[in-house]
Amino acid sequence: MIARREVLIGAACVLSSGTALALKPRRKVSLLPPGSKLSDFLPRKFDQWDSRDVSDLYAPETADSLAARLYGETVARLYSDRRSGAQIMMLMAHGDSQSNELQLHRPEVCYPAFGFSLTASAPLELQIGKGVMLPARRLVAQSSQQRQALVYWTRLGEYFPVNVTEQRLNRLDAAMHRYIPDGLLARFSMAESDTTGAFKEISTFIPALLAQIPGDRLNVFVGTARAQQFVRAGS
Amino acid sequence: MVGVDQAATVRSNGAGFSWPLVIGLAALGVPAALTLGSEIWSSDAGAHGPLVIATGIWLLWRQRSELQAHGHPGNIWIVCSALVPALGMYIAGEAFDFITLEALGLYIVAGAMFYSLFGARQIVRNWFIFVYLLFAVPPPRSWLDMVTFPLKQFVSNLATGILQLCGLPVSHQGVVLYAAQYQFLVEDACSGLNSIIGLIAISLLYIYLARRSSWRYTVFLAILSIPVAIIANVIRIMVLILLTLWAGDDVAQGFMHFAAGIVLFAIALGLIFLIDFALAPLSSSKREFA
Repeated sequence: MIARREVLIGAACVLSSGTALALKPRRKVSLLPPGSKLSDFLPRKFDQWDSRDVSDLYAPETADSLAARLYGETVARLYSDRRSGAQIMMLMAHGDSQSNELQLHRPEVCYPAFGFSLTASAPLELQIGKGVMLPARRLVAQSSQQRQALVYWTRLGEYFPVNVTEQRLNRLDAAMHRYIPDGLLARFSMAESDTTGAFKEISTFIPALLAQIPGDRLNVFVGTARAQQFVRAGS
Repeated sequence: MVGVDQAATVRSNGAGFSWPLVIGLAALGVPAALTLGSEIWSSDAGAHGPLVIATGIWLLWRQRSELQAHGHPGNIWIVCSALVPALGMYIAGEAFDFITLEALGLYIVAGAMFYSLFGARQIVRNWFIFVYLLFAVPPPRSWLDMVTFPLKQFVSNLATGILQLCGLPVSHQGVVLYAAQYQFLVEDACSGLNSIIGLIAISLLYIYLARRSSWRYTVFLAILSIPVAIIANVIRIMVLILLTLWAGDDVAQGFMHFAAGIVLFAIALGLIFLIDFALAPLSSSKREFA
């Protein structure tokens, strides 16, 4: 004879399993249209800037590395100023669906692993166009050989989390709205001991670069609302 | 009020195997296994998961005659008060993709089922198995990283330091190691020393199977499994560097991909075995299982 309580417990489990299955979001929303690539929209040359593709300077790429599983596409370029010789490293990484394990890794977490200590890390409202602000973060990373100034932002669907906790809450919010968002990491850095100058250089570089991206694809980088603002401010 | 209705709770058959519970556990376990399988079990942070679950179930299965003879059904109200929040955790975790929450919910559900069948005394009696099974619950990535990031730095320091003392051209920056013209990473750069959880779990399994009568000694060995896991990693990195220097990058990378995990586990098990062998005389005599 099977005890009644066991039937009840078993039924509660089956019911819970069904509830979870019904609530689970399946719709993937990616701002990057299928078949298109980030590199198609990012200019190789503009204004006084030339660029060449580089491999991420500190992370040797391997086929099954975390980065390869995390991101569908990574574009790493070193832009150099023809006149002044200034060099800005750009890293754009896009992942189609952001899940518990496969989600954006934030530089403030990863840089220490490469032997950098972070001497400054603060959120910042980055001006990307006339009156268009973007929540970003800036870091100063110091290693035995060099000092790096970094500005980066992360886009998770239409959210722009500036720390790990926000990133988690945004992901939950998206799941509550029943979709799985895509993710983008946009990172700009200069190896430069004068970090004030470097931040100034980076913050003029970013709007200039974004202005080169086709208006209908700008949302891949800065989200839909800011892309519209940006286009309106520019026209 | 809290008293258990003895007449109702004494099971007549004592089979300890109940279809409704098995079906319920499977209904929760299969989706969880699919999620875990695609994201955790295939990474070095959680590759030990299926092994822990399989061996944990096997360890409990070995206790079945004892459980049938001396187990008494638990209090239904306690079962319910564990089951309701646990199922809530499971639903939230599975639906909204928070794997730790999901796995922990499932763990508590399974524990509540065990308690419902056999009672609290049997949980206490088999505490080691339940602690061991807890290793199948993946900790939140950020916690894991917080603990194991410094460990990874430490392991890199130690491995390169020892080899430098031997006069080898080795250095490191963070967790990027340089050996002559080669450079490589200690596991993925952006994660911690992931294998450490699996190594501790495998040591615990050994400790349980070679169990001595004294629980103090068991706990002592279990704590030692942490430094053992760290030392195993130091040895692995040193082997990797030496292979790179002497046999070339290709051989070292091949070794890394095919054998590193197994070698790591073998080193950890070997170390814990040696420690146990050396210290065993300190503990009282070995106890045979019934």
